[in-house]
Amino acid sequence: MNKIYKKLAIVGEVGAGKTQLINTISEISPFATEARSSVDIGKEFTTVGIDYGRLSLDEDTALGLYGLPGQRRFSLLWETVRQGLWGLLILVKYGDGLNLEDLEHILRFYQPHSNGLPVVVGISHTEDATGDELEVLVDYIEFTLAAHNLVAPILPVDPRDVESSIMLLELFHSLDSAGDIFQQPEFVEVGVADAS
Amino acid sequence: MPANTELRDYADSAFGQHMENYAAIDLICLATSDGFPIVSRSLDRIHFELDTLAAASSTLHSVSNAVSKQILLKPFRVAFIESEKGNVAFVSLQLQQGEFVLTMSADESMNIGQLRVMISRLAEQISNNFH
Repeated sequence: MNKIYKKLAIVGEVGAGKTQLINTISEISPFATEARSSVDIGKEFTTVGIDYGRLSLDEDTALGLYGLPGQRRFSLLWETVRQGLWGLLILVKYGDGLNLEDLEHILRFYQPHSNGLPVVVGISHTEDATGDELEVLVDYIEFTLAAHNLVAPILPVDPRDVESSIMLLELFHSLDSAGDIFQQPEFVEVGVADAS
Repeated sequence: MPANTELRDYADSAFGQHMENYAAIDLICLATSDGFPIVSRSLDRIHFELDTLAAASSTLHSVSNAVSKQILLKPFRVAFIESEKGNVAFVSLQLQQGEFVLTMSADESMNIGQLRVMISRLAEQISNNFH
C-alpha cells in the first residue's frame, strides 16, 4: 500500500535544536547537511542545507521532517519546503534573549495564518530557566504570534529526548484532528446559530 | 571573515588571471563550507549577491557530499549543474585555514569536461599553496 507523506518544516534560530530533534525522532538515518562553523556560533557544526528525517504517524501515513538552516543567509532554502506543508514547528532557544527579528522573518515568510498552517513553538535549552523567566519568554512569543493573527501552543522541549520531541508532534496531530472536527456539519451549524 | 588575507589575495589574483585567459568563464568564487564569501571575480554582466552565492555554494557542497556518501559511500569531488546557457562546477577544498568550496561557472562555449579540468587545476593550484 502506498504511504501518504506529510511535510513538517522545522525552523528556528541557530542552535535551537532543529538538527538534534530530527536525529532524535527520525526512524531512518537522517540526511544531514552540516558544515563545520568557521565563526563562533556557540557550536561546532551548522546546517547549510536541509536536514531530512522521517517518522511514521501510523501504518498509512509518514511524516517528512525538514530541518532548515537557522542562519538568515540560507533563507533561500526555505522556499523549497514552503508548499504543501502539514505544519510548521518553530524552535526557540532560551537563554540568548529571544531573537524577535528571526521569529518575525519566519512568520512573514510562511504566513501561517493566511495559509491555514498549524504552528507549534518549542522552547529548548530551558534546563536553567525559572518559571517566571519562561513565562516572560512565552508572553513575548505569544505577543509576536498574535501580531500575525496566530494562537499556537508554546512549550518547553528537549530535542535530545524522544518523548519530549514526540510530544510536539502529537500537538500537531491534535490541531489537525481539531481542524477536521470543526469541519463536521454539526459544528458548522452551531457556528451559524451563534452568529445569529 | 575566517580566511587570512594571504589566501584572499592569492585567490583573487589567480581568479583574475583565469578570467583574463579564458573568455568562457563567467564567475569564480571561493567561500567557506559554512557559507561565508572569501573572494569572487565575475564578468560585469553577471549580477548576484555575493552572500547568497556563498550560501548557495555551501549548500550545494554539503548536499552533494551527503548524497555522494549515501549512494557512493564516498565524499564528492566535483559537482556540476548543467543548463542551456552554460555550466557551474563546485569543488571541495581542504586548506590549512579550514574547509572551503570553490565555484566556477562558464558559458556554453566551454563544455563540462573542460570546466572540470579548469576548476580542478585551479583547486590544485590553491591547495598546493595553502595545504
